[in-house]
Amino acid sequence: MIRKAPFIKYYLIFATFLMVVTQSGCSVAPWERGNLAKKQMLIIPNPNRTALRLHVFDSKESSQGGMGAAGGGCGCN
Amino acid sequence: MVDVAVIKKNKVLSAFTCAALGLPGMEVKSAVPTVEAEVNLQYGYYKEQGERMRAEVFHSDFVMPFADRLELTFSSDFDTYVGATPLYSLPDAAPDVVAAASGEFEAAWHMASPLLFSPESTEIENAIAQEIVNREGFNYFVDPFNGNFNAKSEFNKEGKVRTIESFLNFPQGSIGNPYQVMADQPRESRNMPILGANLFFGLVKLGLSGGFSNEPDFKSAFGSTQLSWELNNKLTTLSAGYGLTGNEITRNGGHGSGHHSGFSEELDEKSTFNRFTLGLSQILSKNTLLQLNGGFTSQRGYLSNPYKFVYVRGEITAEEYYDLLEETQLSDGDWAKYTDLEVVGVEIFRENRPESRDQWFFATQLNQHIPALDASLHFNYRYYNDSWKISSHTFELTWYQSLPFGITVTPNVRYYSQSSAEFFAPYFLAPRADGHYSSDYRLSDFGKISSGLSVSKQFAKGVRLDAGFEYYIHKGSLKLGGDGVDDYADISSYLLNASLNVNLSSLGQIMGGHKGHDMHAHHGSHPPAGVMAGHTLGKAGDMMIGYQFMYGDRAGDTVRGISNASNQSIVNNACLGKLCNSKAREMTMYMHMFNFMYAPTDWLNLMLMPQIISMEMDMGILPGADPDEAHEGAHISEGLGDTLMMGLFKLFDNPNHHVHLGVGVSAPTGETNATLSGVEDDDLQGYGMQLGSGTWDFKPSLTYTGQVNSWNWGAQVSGVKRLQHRNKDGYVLGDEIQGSVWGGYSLLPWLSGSVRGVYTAQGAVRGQYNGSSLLSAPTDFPANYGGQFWDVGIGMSVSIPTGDMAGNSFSVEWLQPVKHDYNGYQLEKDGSLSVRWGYAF
Repeated sequence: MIRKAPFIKYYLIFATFLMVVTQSGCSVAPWERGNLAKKQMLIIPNPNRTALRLHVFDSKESSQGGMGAAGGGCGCN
Repeated sequence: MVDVAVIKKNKVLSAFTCAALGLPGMEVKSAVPTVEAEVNLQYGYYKEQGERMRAEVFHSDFVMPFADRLELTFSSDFDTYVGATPLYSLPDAAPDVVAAASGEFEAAWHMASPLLFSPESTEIENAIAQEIVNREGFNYFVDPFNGNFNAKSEFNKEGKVRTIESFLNFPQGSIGNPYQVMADQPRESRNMPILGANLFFGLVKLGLSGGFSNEPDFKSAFGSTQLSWELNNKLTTLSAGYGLTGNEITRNGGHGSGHHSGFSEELDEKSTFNRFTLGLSQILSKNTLLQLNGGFTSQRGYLSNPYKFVYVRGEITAEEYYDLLEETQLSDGDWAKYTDLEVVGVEIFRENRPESRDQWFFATQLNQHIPALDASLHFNYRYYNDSWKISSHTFELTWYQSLPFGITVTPNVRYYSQSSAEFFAPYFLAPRADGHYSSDYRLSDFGKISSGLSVSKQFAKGVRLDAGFEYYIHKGSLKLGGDGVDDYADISSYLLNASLNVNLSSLGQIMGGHKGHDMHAHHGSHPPAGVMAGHTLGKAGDMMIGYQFMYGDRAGDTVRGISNASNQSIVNNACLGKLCNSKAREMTMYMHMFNFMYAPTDWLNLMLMPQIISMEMDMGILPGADPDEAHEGAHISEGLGDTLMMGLFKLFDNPNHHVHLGVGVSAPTGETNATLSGVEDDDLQGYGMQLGSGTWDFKPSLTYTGQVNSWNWGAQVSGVKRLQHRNKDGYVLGDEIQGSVWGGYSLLPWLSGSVRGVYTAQGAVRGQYNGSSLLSAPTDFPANYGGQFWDVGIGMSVSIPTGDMAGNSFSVEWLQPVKHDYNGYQLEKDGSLSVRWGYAF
């Protein structure tokens, strides 16, 4: 079941990717972040609608997690 | 010198950096609390095609900053859902016989047995007998000792076993598309409050949250913590989270108690989920943001859905069925000798999932801003995999387009594809070695495409309205690679949502001091909390949002006219020609009314008031009643009520006297056929338990208010006129007229008390429900509604004229019955409480 060798390989690729990614943004000075501060650039610009959609997806699909859901319960038939 | 210059330049740069970082909103995800208190309200409606599930979700939340380091959040969700849901499925389209067996086990046998041992099966039996004779020779049936013909018990058994076998085999004759058997889900509701806190320590933020979710048969308590850390000049945010959820899944044994009719064994199970997440968000350029997330969840305990069944051929063999049938007193549980599954019908079992599930996901989001269009594109991808062998891919693209006038339009497209659980099949033609089975369509192979649009309008005064729509197409063939179960889970559905966001602090800031003072004149004479449409806004452009809560209770004696009625009198007279079997013991009502007011001109206010109602009625059996006919116990009805739209016209306005006319129309958005069990088309609950009138109603009112120094007073006449002869269910609620007079005194500049006298006359219900009704309690009869009521109200109101909370008003009123003259037989009113909050700006 557990594919050890590829797992380590993926981890290394991922770590390299992270290093590249985290270094690439260093040129963005704080006063250049006006666009990033816009509401439409938030990770979740409309938390209420997102939460409602996630509840629907969690009830109707078999995958959970990864989209910032909080809460529990079922409400799901 | 050069060094100094470099150092200076660096200092200037870092000073700029600090200044820029200090500006509110200059960081992507800053580790400082929200400066502004916010309130959100949302209504969501989800509906699947045809008679399948539909759900309403009412959500509210607020965020409140405390000092510099703490932010508190509270949210509350209230859902109701009802409709048909798949129960299990069968190999072909001739399933009536086995399908009929989805009820109580014994009943199932009684339904199936005639087929096994009826004249219809004689032909099969004869054929089998002939075959045995051919095989064994005729002498097989002749007693070797006395030569008499003797139908041996071995023959009886073999014949019957083979008859059963041929019966059990019949659905496999023609294997076509799976046939889904549906079950009706009665109306049910769920409450979920969540409390949260965010603590800020410089670059580190600690989030804590906890709450619970409460359904009649599924209780869940959960808590989570998340730590995030900004580094690399706030270009990078790392986060780690942990969440724990404990679930309790219960069900009373027996017949049709609440959830799904049909037989069920008692259930009391638990499950525990542990969730771990790691995240990274990274600014890639001044227009690009990337987020990566990964997580693991371990689920342990009872993970089956107790309302899903499976068809398993061969789990109990024909021979074992024969043995079961031979037992003279067949009782539930005898099958335990033959199977570990719970038997719910012939070849039908309750589903059984593994008691452990490990879930992994990896998700990423890329936000790209396009300055030329003032738009942003979000791309999301998630990969998911679990130990049940389900894996899925989710892709989503969302476009946020800013337009003039504070409008944002957001179209999106989403695609989801999953592979099935290893123990999933629409039906099982042979038992599985591990004993795990599920035919829940959500564990099947399928794909889903959806697309939606959301529109948002930001008003200058810190108020935002959002409305959205999304349509989903769920199909086996939409799975990646297209090898999903054909037609099995094909269903389309849609989701609607509308929400209001109010930024309280920014309102306060915009208002400043003098306008608050201006409001004071009008808010000082707020009518008591129970008076509807009793005040107007000051001038053109003003807005108000408000919330009014009403609680009403009826308990104790049943009254006829003005005096208590004996049980005997109720039995004989309250059910119009029939004997009454039950009566209401208590009824409680909770109403939540949301009020939006806007003044387009100085003399006109427009008002919109949607409401949510929740009622509970407890019925008791009357002495000597036939228990089969009576209904006992608590019934609920809850959901959206009627929606009031009103125009308020100022007729006269000077500092001391004010007169306005209200012209309102109530739209029939509330349900008018709530049933006792919550299942559609079942017996109707009393007319008083319905959430709406079902008719368009005219609601006029005339209000006078006056004030001199610390004194204020007022009077209102209002009415309700039903504009239609009958609603779609065959009845119409009575018309109403109400008069009310009050006086108040301001004890402090911001606090006043009031006394009010109210007279209400309400007509009885006319017509009669055109569907099924038990007609066994006074509440089932139209004549037992309405009457004339005299009440006295004692109230208090607080309004805040200046400062940060300026524009807020808060009032409470208790209405105490003084004299009530009821039409027919009715449960006595105990009084009602109104609480009102308003925020004008």
